[in-house]
Amino acid sequence: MRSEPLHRPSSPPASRLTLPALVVLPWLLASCASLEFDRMTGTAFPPQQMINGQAVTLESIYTGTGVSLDVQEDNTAIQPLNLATDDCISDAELTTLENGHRHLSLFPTSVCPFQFCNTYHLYGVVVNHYGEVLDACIPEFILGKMWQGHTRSAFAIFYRTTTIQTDGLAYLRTTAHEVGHALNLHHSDGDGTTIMTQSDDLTGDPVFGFSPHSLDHLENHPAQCKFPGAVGGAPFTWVIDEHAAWPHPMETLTLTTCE
Amino acid sequence: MNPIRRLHRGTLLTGAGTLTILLMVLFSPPAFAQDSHSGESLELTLEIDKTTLVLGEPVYASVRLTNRGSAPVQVSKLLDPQLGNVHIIVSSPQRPRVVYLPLFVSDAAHARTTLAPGETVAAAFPIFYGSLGWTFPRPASYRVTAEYRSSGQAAPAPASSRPVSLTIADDGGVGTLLLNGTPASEEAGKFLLWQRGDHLQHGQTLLADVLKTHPDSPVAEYARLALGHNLSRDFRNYAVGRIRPADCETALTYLQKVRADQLPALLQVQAYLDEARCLATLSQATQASEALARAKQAAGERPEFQLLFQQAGRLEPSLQRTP
Repeated sequence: MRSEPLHRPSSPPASRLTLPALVVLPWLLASCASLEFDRMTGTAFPPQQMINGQAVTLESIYTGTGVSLDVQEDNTAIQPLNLATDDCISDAELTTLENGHRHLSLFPTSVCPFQFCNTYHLYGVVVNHYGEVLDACIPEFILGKMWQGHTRSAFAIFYRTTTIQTDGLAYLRTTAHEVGHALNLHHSDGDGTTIMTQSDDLTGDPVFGFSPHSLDHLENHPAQCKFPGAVGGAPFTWVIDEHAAWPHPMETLTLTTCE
Repeated sequence: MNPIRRLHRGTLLTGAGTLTILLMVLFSPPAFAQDSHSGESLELTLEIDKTTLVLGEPVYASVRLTNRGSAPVQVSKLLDPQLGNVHIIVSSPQRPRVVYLPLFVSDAAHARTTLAPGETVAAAFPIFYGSLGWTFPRPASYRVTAEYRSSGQAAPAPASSRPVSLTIADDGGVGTLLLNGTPASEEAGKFLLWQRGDHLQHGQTLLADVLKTHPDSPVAEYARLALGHNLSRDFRNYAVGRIRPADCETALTYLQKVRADQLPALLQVQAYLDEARCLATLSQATQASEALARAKQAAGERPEFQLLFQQAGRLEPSLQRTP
């Protein structure tokens, strides 16, 4: 007869720890970006897409990047203010949306003394308008905008465009792309097919993931270089290599390694 | 008809019109401070109409991208720092290299066009305020350069313009008043940049102070234009959930005081077009026609100003019928 141990071992075998650790550790090390997502009546949030049999959402696109994206669908009934002769919303008007409807603080919520467990805040809104370009209304050209370049704190998706209304993949991709801008990623961080490649520059079927260059930024650069509203954070500007500069305390713009 | 399909057809027509307007071949030699430099086949030219300015005076750039090669080239038909295809680099003795960063970053679709040999696309945009605040924050000599960069399939090599030199002088304190490092200064910068923004009350108050204390300063002309332009258009204020309708009578009190000869050509055209729109709205057709004629004269043959006419006609359709 096999005797049972009188006491549980003081520590479980390594094999029993490995799997939970693999699951929990990346979550612990991923900083959280909380997206307050509003939309106007007559619009919809980007729907989940099935790609190669896999369900893809805004959150899942950011899984494994070092950024845990928490999408909070908030106000879904902002009434569009329509003008008969002007379908486009101007940049100035867009900023009133953030002023009037944003609830989350511009600044991060610190829940622990380490950067990696802060929660950073971002505001997104799906508008029932077209976007302006060069201060003029040219419908169909602009899919999304990210603004407040010094804080990278907000973005809008222009639902009136045919691309956004009729192409769910493009809609989801554009939204993930704007979130990427808020995380200080640039079009030059795309590689022809991945998320940060501008729609017009796609050289093949879009990939719902990030280029190695983008991942390096998301995984390895300090919080102030990437998160929106980070205290002492960088404006929308480049980091390292082809990335450029932001103001030095002495007001001299210098290239930075962001270290 | 399916509303989406109907919408799409309408926008295609608008897009085709835009394309036609933007793709104009230039024959006349440049007439302003400018220089250009060839890439492989693309030549980028930067123009800044006013190169001697006072502190706080808005700066506008015009860029023209010309295919000097013998084969067609794919380019963006909308040259705009917001789209990331045009970069403006500013250097001064104090700050050796600043890349102008706009407040907004845009993502575009269907914005490419094929530029045939000899053809040009052009655009004009402000560069004086962005995500780093005021681009020209103190009296100094500045050098401004433009770069065109594109990616994607068949992207041409980047093209750079030759630098344009600017001199920013102090002007009896107007710059110190406007660039005072306060939130009101930031709002004033945004208001001058967008020429719109009912919610930017502190900025508008600061600009009203400029008008009161420095009415003859060049900066005052930009303030009058911005205040007039804002009032000439409806404003969707989502912060309060309502549209503030245009007030053309008050707008004209600002616009008709603007000394257009103090402004760069882009803003001269805009001031006249705003005036024309408001006069047309107030059923003053003859005066509207005269203002429109002044706008056309100020624009000359420069293709980068055509978007202003398109936008004015969109907002006030009667202007499209004006000979």
